[in-house]
Formats: sequence, C-alpha cells, structure tokens
Amino acid sequence: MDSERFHKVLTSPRLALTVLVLISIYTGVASWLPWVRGTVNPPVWAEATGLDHPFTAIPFLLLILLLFISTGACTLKRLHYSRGLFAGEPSGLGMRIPVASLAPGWETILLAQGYRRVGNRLYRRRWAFFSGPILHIGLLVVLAGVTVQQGFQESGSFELAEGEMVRLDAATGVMDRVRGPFAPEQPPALEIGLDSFDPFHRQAGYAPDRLSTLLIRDHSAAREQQATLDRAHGVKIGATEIFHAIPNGLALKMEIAGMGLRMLHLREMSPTTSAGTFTAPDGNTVRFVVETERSLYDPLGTGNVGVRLESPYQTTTIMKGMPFLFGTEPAKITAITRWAGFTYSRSFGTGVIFAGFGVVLLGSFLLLFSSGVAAVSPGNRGEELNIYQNRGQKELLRLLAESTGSPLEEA
Amino acid sequence: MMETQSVLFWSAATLYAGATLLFFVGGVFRREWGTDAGRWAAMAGLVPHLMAILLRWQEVGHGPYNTRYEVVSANAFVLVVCYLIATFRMPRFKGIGMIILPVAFLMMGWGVSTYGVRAEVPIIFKSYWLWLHIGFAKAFAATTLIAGACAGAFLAKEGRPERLPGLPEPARLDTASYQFLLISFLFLGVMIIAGSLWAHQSWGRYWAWDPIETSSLVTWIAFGIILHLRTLHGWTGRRFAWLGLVALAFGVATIYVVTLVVPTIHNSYLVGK
Repeated sequence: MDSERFHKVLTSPRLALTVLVLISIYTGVASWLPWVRGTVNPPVWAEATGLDHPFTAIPFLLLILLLFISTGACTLKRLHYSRGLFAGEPSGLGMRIPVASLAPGWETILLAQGYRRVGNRLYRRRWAFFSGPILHIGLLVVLAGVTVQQGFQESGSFELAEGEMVRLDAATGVMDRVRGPFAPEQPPALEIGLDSFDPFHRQAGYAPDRLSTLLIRDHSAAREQQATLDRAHGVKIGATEIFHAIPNGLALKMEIAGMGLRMLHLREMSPTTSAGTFTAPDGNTVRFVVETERSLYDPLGTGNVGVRLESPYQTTTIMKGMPFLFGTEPAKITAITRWAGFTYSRSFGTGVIFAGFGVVLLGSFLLLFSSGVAAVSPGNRGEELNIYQNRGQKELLRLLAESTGSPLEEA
Repeated sequence: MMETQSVLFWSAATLYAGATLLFFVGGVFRREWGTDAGRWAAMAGLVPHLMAILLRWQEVGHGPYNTRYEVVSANAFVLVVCYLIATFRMPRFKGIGMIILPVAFLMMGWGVSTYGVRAEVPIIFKSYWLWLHIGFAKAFAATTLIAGACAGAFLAKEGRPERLPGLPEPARLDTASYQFLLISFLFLGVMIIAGSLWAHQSWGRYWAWDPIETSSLVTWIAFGIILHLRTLHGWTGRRFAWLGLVALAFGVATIYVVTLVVPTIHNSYLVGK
C-alpha cells in the first residue's frame, strides 16, 4: 500500500467511525461484566484471554492505539484545512457567486451578520475555525497523558486498626497492588499509623461516615505529618496520596507470648458476625469468630461481644483479658477494636490528562460559534464572491438572495 | 413547611398541565393566543416550582441532587427554564412547548412518587466539583430533551408542514435540533470532566470504567459521531432527526436509567426509598 493510500485510510471517516463504535461496544459491555464490578471472580475463559481485566487487555489497548493514530491523522488534515480558512481561502464547500449578480449592499449584509474586514477578506469569528482541531488536539493530549500516567501509576490498599502502624513497602504492607510497567518496584516508603477511627462521624449536613486521624512518616524524605481523613478528600504526602476507603471491620488486639502485640483483622460474615482464619504459632489453622449483640453498622455500637476460638480440636469461648492458648503459646485479647481500609496512589502524568480535558472543553466551547470567510477574486465571468460559513451558510445565502430579489446564481 | 412545599409543588404541576393544554390548543387548532398563554403559564409555574425546590433545600440541608423527587423535580425546572430562554432568543421557537411542557409535567409526576423520601447526602458530596458536575448534568439533560423534541417535531411535520401549525417550520426545527445537540455536547463534556476531577479528589482515581462513567463517555462519543455526520457529511433533515432521537435515547439512559438498573458509584443519586 503506498503512502498516499495509507494516509487516505488513516484519515478516512469510516475507520474513525469503526474504531469509535468498537470502543463504545467494548467498554459498554466490559463495564457491566460482573467480575469487573467485583461481584464474582472472573471465569477461566476470561483469565485465559486476558478479559479478566478488559481495560488493560491487548484488544482494548490496540483499539485505543488505533483511535490515537486515526485522530492524529484526521486532526493534522483538518488543521491544514482550518489554517487555509484562517488565511482567507474559502474551502470547496463554499459558494462562488458572480459579484455582478449581487445587490450593491451585499457587504453591508455580511457586516450585519458579524463579518469584519481584514485586508481584502471578510471574516466572521475567524478564531472559531480552529474549534474542531483544538478539541481533537485535546483528545490526543488526554490519550497520550493516560498512556504515560498508566505506565507510571501505582496504587494499592491497606488496613489499619487503632494503634496499629504499617509500612507500605513491607512485604505484607499493601494489598491489591496495581502498578504500571514503569512504576517503582516497591510501594512508597511510608509508615502510616492510625491514631483514631470513628466509623460514624457526623459532619454537619452529611450522613454519618468514616473519619480517621493518621500519622504518616515519609522515610524517603524524613518528614512526618498528621492528617485527618474522611471519604471526601485524600491527603498528599510527597508524591503519594492516601484516601479513606469504605471497608472496615472488627479487629482483635492480642498479646501473644514471645510475639508481642498483634492485631487480627476479621471479615464480616453477617452484620452481627465477623470471623478470620489465622495460622497459630504451632502451624495449625485456627478461626476467631466474634458475635455482636447489635449490627456492625449500628451507630450506637455493637453492644455485648462474644469471642470464640475454633481450632481443629475444640472450640473455646474467650473473654477479653482471659488467657488462652493460641496454638501452643499463651495469649490474651487486650482489646476489641475496628480496622479501617485505606487506599494510596502515586501517579505521574495526571496533570497532562487534566490539561487535555481543558483543551477538549475549549474546543467544545468554540464549536458553539459559527465562523465564515468571504473573499472577492477574479473568476471566469468577472469578479466572484467566494463565501464559506461553517454553519448557517444557507440562511446567509438566502439573505443575499432576498436583497437581489432573485435566486443567487452560482459561478 | 411540608404542607407549603406540597401546595407549591402541586401549583407548579397544575400550571405546567395547564400550559400543556394551552399549547395543544395553540398547536393543533391554530390559535396563536393558546401558544402565548401556554408560555405565560409555563413562566408562572416556575415561580411556585422554584419556591418548592428552595423549601425542600432548606428542610433537608442540601440541594436538589439526592432523592428521586429532588433530582427529577429540579431537572424539570431546568428543562422549562432552558425552553423559555430559547423562546426569548428565538420567538418562533415557542411552539415546541407543545412537547416540552408535557414532558416537564410527566417528570413532575415521576418525581412526586418519592415526594416523602428524605435522605442525607453522603460525605463524598463535600466537594466544590459537585456544583459543576450536577449543574451541567441538569443542563445536559434539559438541552438533550429539547434537541430530541425538535427532532421528533421535525419528523412529525416533515413532508406536511401544515400539520401541527403551532410548531416551528421543519427547517427551523432541523437547525434548532442541531444547535441544542451542540450545546448539549459541551454540557456533557463539562459534566464528565467535573465528575472525573471529583472522583480523583475523593478516591484518587479519575476513571474506573464504572457503568455510569462508561455510559456517559459512550453518550459523548455518540454525540460526537452525530455532530460529525452533520458538519462534515451534510446529514440534515430526516436522517439527522432520527439521529437526534438516538442522541435522546443515549442521554436519557445515562441520566436516568443506568443508575437505576445496575450498581454504580452513582447509587446515592435518584434515591427512591
């Protein structure tokens, strides 16, 4: 395929339309998939084809690449075209009318329609010729920004109970970590502690929701800050942002002989039952089950709490402060508290994406304005008015025709 | 306060219903006074409607963006306001009230089904982006409906311009449909971007392919395709009118349907019980 034909294919509306329709169908279906929404695990066939993560799957990335190339090619073509109009060369879509067939006051009609003389041309909102290219340049900036940002971004989640601290770059510090191919190998060197957590804090005008006080130590920059966090805004330390997540649950603070204090995070089984399975010091698997009098979501509190330890050999009811055997080691529960979930993210390039958004909006805004150019030049039958207006041209030509009292004759 | 609110709401609904009847008189029986009176009735209806919205705002402590009643009532208000602004700029456009006012009235009927529901807004609504996102969402919904109304009216009159004489002529409807779709495209863009920035502020991610996010993006793409077909390929008249109805379907699905059908990040909007 020669380069001209290749260019024609790249700038063809059919290619652009096909890519856009495919992307729309793909994203529309993929966003509804139950495993994408997190309600079920992905089936085997989805994992085998990469469609367990459809928005990072090869077919989708190829479609986006094709969109970028098609949009870029079309934008260059239209930019050339818009520059021509801006320079006063009415396009082939315009109409050539013999000046002799126009009424003497034709220029007055154009001036009344918002045209202004610049040199030997008449323009109407000349700057709006670039509205379409500006919008598409914005789209290219967004696509490029997303590519860079996705390449460098990383995010993950972690849980903390009151009094607990976690280092994000520790082996078990972070869960569900997602990182782009160029993101740092390790999570950020942040140590985060939860000073206080209120799952039902009421701020004036809003439903009760989580509020936490965190102590954040940035070991890479030797700085520390305390932050109060709700679900409305994150907190930024260095290049990392931390956000309050929705999940929270009960936690058991245990003192284990030879191991010190440990925090065991339980998972909700029902509003009044939470449980967690752990490996005891002797290697056996044990399960802690906590039953509460009231729901976990009751703002008045859970009420009375009962704890039992289920091991392969027996089930034991445990009271707070009462010694029991955790595997082979003596232990006791010193407190029953709550853990809260948080997320962190580090991404480079988000500013480029937001700048792209701004350019897209600017282009969209400029689209609201119609623009036009009119130029008189010599023609086959004397002087001709070559006039082009991107919107409302028919109405303008009707006004010119009305002034002559007869239909306009095209040159 | 509840009783006053109810009286104001029903006053507005009654005036919109009256406007509907008057527009039909004007549109079907060629009575210019009917169209003019309908427009005045719509304007009059805005007064108690606005007061009802403000009283509910005062009562619950947040704007009209949470429960189904609040959202749909406010959207109906914005729809009528947008229609009236258009008629001030384009007086020949007033006949389209024959479609707009019944839609507004039906929206009031839908909203009132959850009139008694009060709900606190979640803490994630504590953001300045809320005003941009929700404000432009309402403007998008209204202008899309008006564009669709113009498209539908065009199809009704095409080939028989003498039909429904109260409506503008087909050429005017074709142009208006395009103009409103263009404005709607801008409003949708602002809505999407403001929502994205809000999500980034609250959750640290600007996009997660949530069903409502995806639906709004697909709608924006659909609008873009339709506008390209008009500006670059000269699609006008009947073809463009049908596309206008397609755009309306996308817009309605994004604003009203997706959040009611599937769990999304938008489930604290259009709350019904």
